[in-house]
Amino acid sequence: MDKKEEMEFVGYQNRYPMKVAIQVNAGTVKELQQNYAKLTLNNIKRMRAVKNRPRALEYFDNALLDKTARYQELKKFKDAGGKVIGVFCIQVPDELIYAAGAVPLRLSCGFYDTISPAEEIIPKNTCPLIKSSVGFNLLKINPLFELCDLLIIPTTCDGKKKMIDVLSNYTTVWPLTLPDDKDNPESRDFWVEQIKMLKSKLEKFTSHSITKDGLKNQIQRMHKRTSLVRKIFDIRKDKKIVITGRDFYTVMQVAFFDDIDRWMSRVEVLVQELINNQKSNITMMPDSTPRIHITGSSLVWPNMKLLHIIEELNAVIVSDDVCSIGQYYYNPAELDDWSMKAMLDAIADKYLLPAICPIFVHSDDRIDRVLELVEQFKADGVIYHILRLCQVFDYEFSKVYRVLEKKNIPILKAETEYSEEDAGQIKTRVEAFIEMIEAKK
Amino acid sequence: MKTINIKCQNKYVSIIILFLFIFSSHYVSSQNDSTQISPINSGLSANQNVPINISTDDSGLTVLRGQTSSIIIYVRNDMSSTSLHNVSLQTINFSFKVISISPKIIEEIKPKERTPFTINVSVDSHTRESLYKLNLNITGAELASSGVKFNTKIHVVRKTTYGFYVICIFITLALLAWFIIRMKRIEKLATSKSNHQIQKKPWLFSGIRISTWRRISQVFFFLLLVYGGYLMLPQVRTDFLPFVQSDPNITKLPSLNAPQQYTEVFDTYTPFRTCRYMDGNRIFRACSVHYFTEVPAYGVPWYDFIPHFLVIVLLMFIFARVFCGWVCPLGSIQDFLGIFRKWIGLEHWSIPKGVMNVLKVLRIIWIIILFILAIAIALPLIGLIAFKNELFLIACQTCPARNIFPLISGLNPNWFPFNDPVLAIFSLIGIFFLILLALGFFGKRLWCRFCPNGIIQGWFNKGSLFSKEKDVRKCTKCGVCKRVCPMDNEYVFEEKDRKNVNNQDCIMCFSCVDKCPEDECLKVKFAGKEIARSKYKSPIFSSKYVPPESNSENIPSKPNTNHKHHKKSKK
Repeated sequence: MDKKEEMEFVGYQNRYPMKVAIQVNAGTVKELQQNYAKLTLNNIKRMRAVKNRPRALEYFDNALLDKTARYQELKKFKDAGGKVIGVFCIQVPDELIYAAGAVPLRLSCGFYDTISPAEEIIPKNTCPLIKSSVGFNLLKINPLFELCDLLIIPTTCDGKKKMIDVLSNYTTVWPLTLPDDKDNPESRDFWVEQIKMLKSKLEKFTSHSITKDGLKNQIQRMHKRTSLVRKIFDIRKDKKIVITGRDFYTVMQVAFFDDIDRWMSRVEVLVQELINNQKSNITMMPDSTPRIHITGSSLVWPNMKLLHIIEELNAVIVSDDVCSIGQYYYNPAELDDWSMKAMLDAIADKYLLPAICPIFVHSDDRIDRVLELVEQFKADGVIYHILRLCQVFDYEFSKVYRVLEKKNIPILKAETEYSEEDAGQIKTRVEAFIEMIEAKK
Repeated sequence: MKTINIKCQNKYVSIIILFLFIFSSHYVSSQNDSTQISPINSGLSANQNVPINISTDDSGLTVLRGQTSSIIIYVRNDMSSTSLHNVSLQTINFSFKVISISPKIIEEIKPKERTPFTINVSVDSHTRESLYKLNLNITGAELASSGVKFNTKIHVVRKTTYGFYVICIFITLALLAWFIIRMKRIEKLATSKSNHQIQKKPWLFSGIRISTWRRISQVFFFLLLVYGGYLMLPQVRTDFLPFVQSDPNITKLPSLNAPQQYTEVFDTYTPFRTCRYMDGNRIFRACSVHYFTEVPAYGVPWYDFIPHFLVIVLLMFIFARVFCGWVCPLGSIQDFLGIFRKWIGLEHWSIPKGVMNVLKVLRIIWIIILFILAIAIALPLIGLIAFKNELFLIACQTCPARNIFPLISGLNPNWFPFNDPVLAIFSLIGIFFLILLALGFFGKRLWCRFCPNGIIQGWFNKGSLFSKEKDVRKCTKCGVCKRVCPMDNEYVFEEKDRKNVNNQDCIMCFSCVDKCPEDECLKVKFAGKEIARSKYKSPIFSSKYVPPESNSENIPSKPNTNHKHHKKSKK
């Protein structure tokens, strides 16, 4: 779109555009794509090695292995006039995007090999997730990125904020300003205004107005999605282990890019199978397996290093409050009054108030959540995962650690990144942790 | 910006203040006002100067309402030498009719002679059951010019019928049957093997939401209180002493007259808005604000007003503001308007916070003014006795119920707000409150934030037997509780320390508990025992979700190029 339109939508004009493309040759790109496919396959093979894995998970494995079918679907959708919008983080309202007739795609990535190409345009000392995502998308390792007409990025952590500026050189990016303090009412009013602006911008962008009925339908659809996730949570509370943490991770990672209705129907099939398995006592791991709760930095596909280590040492991840796995679709937008103002209020509240992302000033809500999940799921220990150079989670660790220590809940700090170099070290530490938990039992 | 909370929440202090107010105002007004009506004495009274003897054979007349009876009065001339001439009898009473007296005039009563007068008394069918005095005045040429006063007892009784009891028995039986059937169903669900989602035994109200119960209760009480009197034509005896008739010296302006005399089933005042201004037989006498502002003006003996006071306080202790959310017909009207508004899709509008803070202070000042005016028309101190007629029952005149209830129960409200200059000021306030109620159409319960009844009950909210509790750790701070609250309260959402989340502004509708999406985060407790809790209501999975039989072999995998991992779909 031309400069004037862009100015109107984005609010600023990139007056010093950085016309730098990442310098790689076609051979490297091909190599990266093959590596990515290999890593995906390897992850799935390791997961399939566990006995009694639910058959319904095949769909999710195949969706991750091969995205061409999804690519063609989206291409057809775009040719018919639809728009595809790329998002990051979890604060962008899906209801508004769907009601405007577009489709959201979450573009985060956890692939180690795309980090070094991205270091040409992004500084070395930042979060690996940002570097990896930028490399993954700009180098087209992600086949779905070129279909995105637009990116919407909320201003969560420092890295994401500056990533907006960097990515605006390559494609249209809309920032969505998130308040830093969600505790006072003025911040909430500010966020409601942002949502209203986003709604009118989306309507203009897709030339598809958001009606009351349309928005109501989307809110109810998202609520069904929430209830499916909560159902799986309920199933995992039981002491019979019919699904491991890695499998649930797979399910949620497919939701990043898959068609929502199809995803929901497949998850319902999965839920049916899990209930049947529980009834007929087909478990994946024995009941006495040590139960772990994972918290901390985001874990995105194909980064499963820590998850593999934990579960291959015969522990099971029963719950988590990571933003890309457990917290992703957890909160519903409940309301009893279906006027436009009430719906926008509910949507704004849904994405701001229960968010336990550490980018807000106070972290007490997150501690409440960790304690509550540990109690509900009867977890024996907590593993706190921090990506190297992720400042906000690192800051919060000392507080969480002290609170959990007082309550005699074992906690382990696992600071790592995407490369496989420190896998051995992590494995030793996790092994010792699990032994300590088992001894305590 | 925190809202201002008037720190008047100690209910014991409130009770003592109210009691002192009533008692002292009664005491003061009874000193000044000589219209204290003493309890009814039966018997004869005669003017001692003139030796005539008036007697009646009956010890007292018992008359059924709506019927006619007669009583015979004997006048005996005790003067030894003179006859009495032109003796006539008049009656002074207004609550039942004296149809005829015969003979009307006796021309001559010779000395030592006794003559009977037969008085036919007809009692109006709306007269309250009570002991009355039939006041008579006997005049004659030889008697004093003002006449000889005499009174006799008349006991008006009601015909008891049993329709009310029959209805009560039916309702009890229906409830019992429902209860038994429900418990049986719960037993079956809990022990069945096919549905093991239910990890603990569901309790009685697990299928029915609190908001459904509340709607049923609201509709039931609305019909009962507004139109129920038409159903309950025979009345139930109450054992309270009857509140005596109003002071006849108070003559009200035509715009202030209540449309009907006191005719109701239960002769008691209640803490919610059962208004005097409704048509037909009302179920209760009037609301408690009417009581508090009426008692000082009458100066009645203490045994007449204490029982009502105790009843009101007891009800407030137990239920606090549950009446506001579940029973009050004025509140129900606002809720029904809200349902209508949602149906036609209008936006919800709430008062901005700054304005609300100011209004919260003003509403306390308004209550104080009401109470001062209630005493002021009895005390000469404040100098408002001259306005006794206009300012009597000012709380009723400024209440929106005074106009709304007559309209919906079929009566002319008879409201002339600007007839009188003194009253015009208060009529403006009355119009303001009416507008508030009408604006409740866009907001939620706008009037209930200013209702004097509600404010007094709100002081009892903190320690009442009904209470709400919150488990702060389970709360995900999603904000639903403050979005659905009809009073736009935010303290349930904001409370992050304590368990107890009661507040004087809460009408105990329990919408927050109903809508909270976290299990067991908010609980409703009665006297320490839990009676309701919040639960996540899934739109897909109900508690009766039973998965279909496991022929889930039809999981077609997506077509992909890597056939090595394509598993067979048959077992």
